[in-house]
Amino acid sequence: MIELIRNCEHGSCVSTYVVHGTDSRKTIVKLSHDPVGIEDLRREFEGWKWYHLRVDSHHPIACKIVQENPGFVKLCIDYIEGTIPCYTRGLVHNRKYLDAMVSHYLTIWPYSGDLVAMHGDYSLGNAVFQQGQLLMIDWEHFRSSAVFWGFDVVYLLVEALFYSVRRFRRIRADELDVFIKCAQSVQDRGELPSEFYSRPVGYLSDFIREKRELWGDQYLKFPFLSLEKPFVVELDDRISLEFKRCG
Amino acid sequence: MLLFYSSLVDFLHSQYAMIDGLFVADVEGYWSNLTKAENKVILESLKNDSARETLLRYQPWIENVIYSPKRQAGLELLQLQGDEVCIDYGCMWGALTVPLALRTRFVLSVDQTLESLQFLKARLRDESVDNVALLRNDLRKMPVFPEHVRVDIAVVNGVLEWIPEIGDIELKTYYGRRHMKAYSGCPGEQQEAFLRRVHENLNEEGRLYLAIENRFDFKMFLGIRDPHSNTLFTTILPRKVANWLSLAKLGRSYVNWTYSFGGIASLLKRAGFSRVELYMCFPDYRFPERIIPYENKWLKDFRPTISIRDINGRVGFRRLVGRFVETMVFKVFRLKSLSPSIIAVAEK
Repeated sequence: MIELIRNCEHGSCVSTYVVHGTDSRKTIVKLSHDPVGIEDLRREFEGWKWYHLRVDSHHPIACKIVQENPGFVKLCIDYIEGTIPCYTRGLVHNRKYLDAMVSHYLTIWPYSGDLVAMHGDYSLGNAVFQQGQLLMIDWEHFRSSAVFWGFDVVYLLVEALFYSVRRFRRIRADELDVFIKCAQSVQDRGELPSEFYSRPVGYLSDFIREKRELWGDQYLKFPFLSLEKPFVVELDDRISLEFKRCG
Repeated sequence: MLLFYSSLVDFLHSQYAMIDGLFVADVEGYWSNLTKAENKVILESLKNDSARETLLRYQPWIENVIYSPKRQAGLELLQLQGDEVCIDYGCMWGALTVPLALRTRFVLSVDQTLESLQFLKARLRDESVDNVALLRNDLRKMPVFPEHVRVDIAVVNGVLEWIPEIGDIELKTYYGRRHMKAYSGCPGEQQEAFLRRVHENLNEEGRLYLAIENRFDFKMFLGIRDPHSNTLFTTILPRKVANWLSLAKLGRSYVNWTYSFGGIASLLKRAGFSRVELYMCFPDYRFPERIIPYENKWLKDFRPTISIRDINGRVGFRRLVGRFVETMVFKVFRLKSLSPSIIAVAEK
């Protein structure tokens, strides 16, 4: 039994399916016959290979290219059962998941002053929690040696904050508190760019716009890029004030 | 091409003349979203420009219809291995021909409209796809293939409902307009006869991919017009009543028969197919967002597919209502028989 679950969303050219095997095992199938989609799938394969070497998983996750020719690529990935947090619920609601994801990042990406590999969409919506273990999925934006250390977790926190502001229609102090604490736990293990502390949302947005080729047309899917500049400035001012207050 | 599919190509050579790289039967016929005059402009431009550039210059609205990577998503239901020989019945501009050709051994693409095939030929040239043969023929007049050239896969995508139609169709000037026409025969019988021929031309392990609108698409109950005739309620009413309505409004019988899930399964069984798997397709089979097996009882993971925003990003009231109704019908009440489109994968 096959189900199409996503089809070329957010500017992607990849179709994604769940295949239900006769032995009740499930597999994710991703395929494309578009040159951009094919590149995304090859990157996803590389990303899984890279991640697999570094993650300590109870069950090895298989990701293989099952069909490949100049105009078509098809990838099969083991389906991972588990819970995916609701990324729109805000930081307080997702605190334990955010802590786990920050900790996961710090384990998989030990601090380096050089450019590091990138997941590219390190989001609550791409985190699967399974029996206390976390696995990140959807590696189609993977790049090796592409971004500053900490990029993915900065992205995670800014995206979570965006959805918090959208949900509550204001910047809540308790939400901001979680943001600050998560950022500080990252800072304990390595050095984020100094500009992050003075204008985190603006800095991340500018960085993504400058490096948009890393995501192709899909860079437009990042929700915080749609924030109006005055609001970004207001948000950054609040956050930088909190950073200063917390030392 | 000759290396791998010489038997089928030899057969085509024995049956048809070859003109300008196309196999051509002695038929007339035209079915296109474009008028003949518009097609003429397109074909003239193809002499100097690529197929895609030509469309973007002269008919930009149709570029996404032809080239969207979304269109081929249903083909995965066939679980293609890469060595199949396929027929795309009613291929038009190659929305499924090209993806099929990129992942199988060979595709014979058949259409009655010469202009569509000429465009497709240019498109295949641009995209360096060389495992496709093009045949201009009336789909109702396909010959029976000798056993040794019968194919693995047949694709009938948005075609079945047009089989009973006759005469030249320029959709812009035909759709919803009054054109007096006299048909003969029963549309259902004509569709069945076509499917029988499709069945005959499959080899023993052959499979059919068929996509069509659901007769009982929930939107049809809400006053959305029949997408083939622009009439109200004709898909859901008994055929006789639909006929009267069509005669009254359009001056011609209602022939664009679509089916329910049960109806399609019965039709395919009558045409000789042995095993039929049915899929619900949202929001439609042309640009699917979700394809769900019909046997999925609960639709518990269903997410609405109707966007509240139009292509300009504006929120529309009708879209809001549509999304709400879609959520209620499928996620809450789980009325899967009212899905917008049907995909059937049938085995010989």
